[in-house]
Amino acid sequence: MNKPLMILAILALTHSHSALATDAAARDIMVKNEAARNLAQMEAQAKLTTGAKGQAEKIKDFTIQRKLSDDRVHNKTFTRFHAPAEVRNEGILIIENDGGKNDVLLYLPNFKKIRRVETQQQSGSFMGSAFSYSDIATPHVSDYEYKKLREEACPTADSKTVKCAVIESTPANEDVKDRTGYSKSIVWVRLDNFMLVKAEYTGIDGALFKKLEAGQIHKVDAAKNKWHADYLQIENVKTGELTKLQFSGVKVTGDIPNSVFTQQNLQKVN
Amino acid sequence: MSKALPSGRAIRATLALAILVAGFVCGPAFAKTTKNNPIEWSFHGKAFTDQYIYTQGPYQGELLQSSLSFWPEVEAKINDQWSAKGVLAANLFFKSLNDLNNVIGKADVREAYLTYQKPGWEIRAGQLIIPWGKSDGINPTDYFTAKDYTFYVPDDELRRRGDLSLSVSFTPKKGDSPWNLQAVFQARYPQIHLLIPDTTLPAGLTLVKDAPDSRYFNPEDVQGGARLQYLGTSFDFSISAFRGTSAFPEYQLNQVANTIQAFHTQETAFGSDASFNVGESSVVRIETALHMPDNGTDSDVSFGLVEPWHWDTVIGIERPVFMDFRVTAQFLVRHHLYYKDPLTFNDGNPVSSAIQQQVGRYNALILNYPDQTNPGVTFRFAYASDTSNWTGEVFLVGYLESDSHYLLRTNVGYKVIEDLKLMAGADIYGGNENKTFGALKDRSAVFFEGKYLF
Repeated sequence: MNKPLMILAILALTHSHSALATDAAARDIMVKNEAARNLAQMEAQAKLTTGAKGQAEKIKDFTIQRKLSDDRVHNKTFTRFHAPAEVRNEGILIIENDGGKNDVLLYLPNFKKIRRVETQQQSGSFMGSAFSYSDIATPHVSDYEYKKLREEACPTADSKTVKCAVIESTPANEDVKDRTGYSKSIVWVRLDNFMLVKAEYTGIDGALFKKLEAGQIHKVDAAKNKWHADYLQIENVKTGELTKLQFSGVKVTGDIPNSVFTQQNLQKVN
Repeated sequence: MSKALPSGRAIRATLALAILVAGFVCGPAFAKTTKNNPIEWSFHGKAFTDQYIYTQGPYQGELLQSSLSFWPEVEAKINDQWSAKGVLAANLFFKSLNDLNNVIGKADVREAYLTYQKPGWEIRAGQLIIPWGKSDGINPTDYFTAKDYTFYVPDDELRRRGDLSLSVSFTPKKGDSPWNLQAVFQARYPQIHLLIPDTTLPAGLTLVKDAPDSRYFNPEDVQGGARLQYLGTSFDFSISAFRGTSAFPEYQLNQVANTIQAFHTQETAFGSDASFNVGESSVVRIETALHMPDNGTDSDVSFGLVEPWHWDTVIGIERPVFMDFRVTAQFLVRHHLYYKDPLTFNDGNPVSSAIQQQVGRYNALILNYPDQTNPGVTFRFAYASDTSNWTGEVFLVGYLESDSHYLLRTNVGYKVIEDLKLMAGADIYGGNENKTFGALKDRSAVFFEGKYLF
């Protein structure tokens, strides 16, 4: 290789490395974040409250069950709605697969049928709320590149005395971007327990899309140092729609049978 | 007059209720329900009113149907293994297609069954609705349910009917396997009630619309089927088999009574369906079934008078468009393995042949088999606002024969409060008047519905 070409090659390598590199410190924090929140299994009651400013609030009650698959990486999530009457007994089964090609199956009691939903649906609204299906699913460290921006006092009311790392994450590939509907996010992660307390999501169009806050964070498994946020609040900045998700009766021990996460269980209501 | 005897429908409903009541009464004993673990009851249901107004034909502007419906549901979870459910469908028709002049009250047990579950197994017995098939609106593998098309209601699923059945579902590995096998036995076939055009009756004959409803269980009416399902990564499929009676009525000549009387043909059918993700934004669904009526080959004496063996296939794709819209487009085809134009039927007697030809043509018209191969399409365009307060839908079924014909169903809905929804729309039949939907153009109507869920 002649000298100019070699210089060009070195420049190219250096440049591409700096563009793609994940900040090691940032990634380390996100690895700890995933370890802290990634539960082998979880079941809880949940209340989803939606409503834009000036509009009446609507409440949906559901039960959620989640379990790590045998590969210990991907989750299976089963959700059953109880109220209001319009969605009673509807069920959603999300089985995460490699590359984000997740299976999303809906049970529609009115039809007494299961319907497969397109993967892109994961970036769509979760039961008419500001949450998307991908917001409800658990993100994986390997799906993103990270850059640590700064450290500062955590921004939410119940975490102000704690220090947070502010980290920018960008989808590692187009699939993740398409699936989530976000081109970038900035997250605030507590440095004491590594739980996320705030996030700002940028849409595909480059504009701020949603703001998330997490609260009521508590340890649910002392032996494995696992934590859970019982309260999530997300705002769609574009529409002003605000959704609150309140978990109760969170249980992480016991053994949820694998048969919960099947088509048969999805239609086991009526 | 045998009015003292209850109808077959009443007997079956009574049996279904008896199973349910027995479950409520005896279930706790078998299920070891205790004071600490009492039965969990829940009561729900819907109340709705529908007003349909003719938009074409001699009754244009008049009420086609004015109805008030109350469908309460009760569910009981006895324990982790046993549960029960009952749904009553009570309808009050101030005016209906079946009776334009009198107020009619109807109460049917829509569902009433007991369920037993243990890991890997689910057994249900009673009045059951068991709809099979993944396609949108048109399901060749839907062997065990029927619809009452004379009941005008925007939600097509409310027209669906089942019957007294036993369903056994088995999933290996205590429910953890991707495979599932379901077997269904039904005491008697449910009957589809079709919309019948006024103008196409063979001259001089009286129509008896529905097949006689047997008062007693007849072994010949028992039907059964099985379905093997598999859930894979990004795809699922099933194969199914059925032996029983077609829910679709056909008509045969009764020369003594000078009527054409509905009857249902026994058949064997094999089917399959599948759905899979294509890219990030689409789901493809395929459903196909080969229906083999007992008298449906070219060696049968009634060949040309009733529907012969046919193969139905639906291939469709569904995807979201923009933010709040979804589109489903399907291609349909029905191909008859044997086919004879009814107008060529000849039994050797010119007079009876001519009448039989009219009856055969009538069957071909109301069941839509005017040609050996009948291609068609469906198109659904649905809207739901961000908050789901506003909804809208356009659904088109069209057949692409040389003389095309179609059904267009539209609706717009608004949720006044969380559980109260108002809806308005139209069912429009059109196209060539010698084809199924075209012949029904006088059944076109606009509607208004109010529905309250509780």
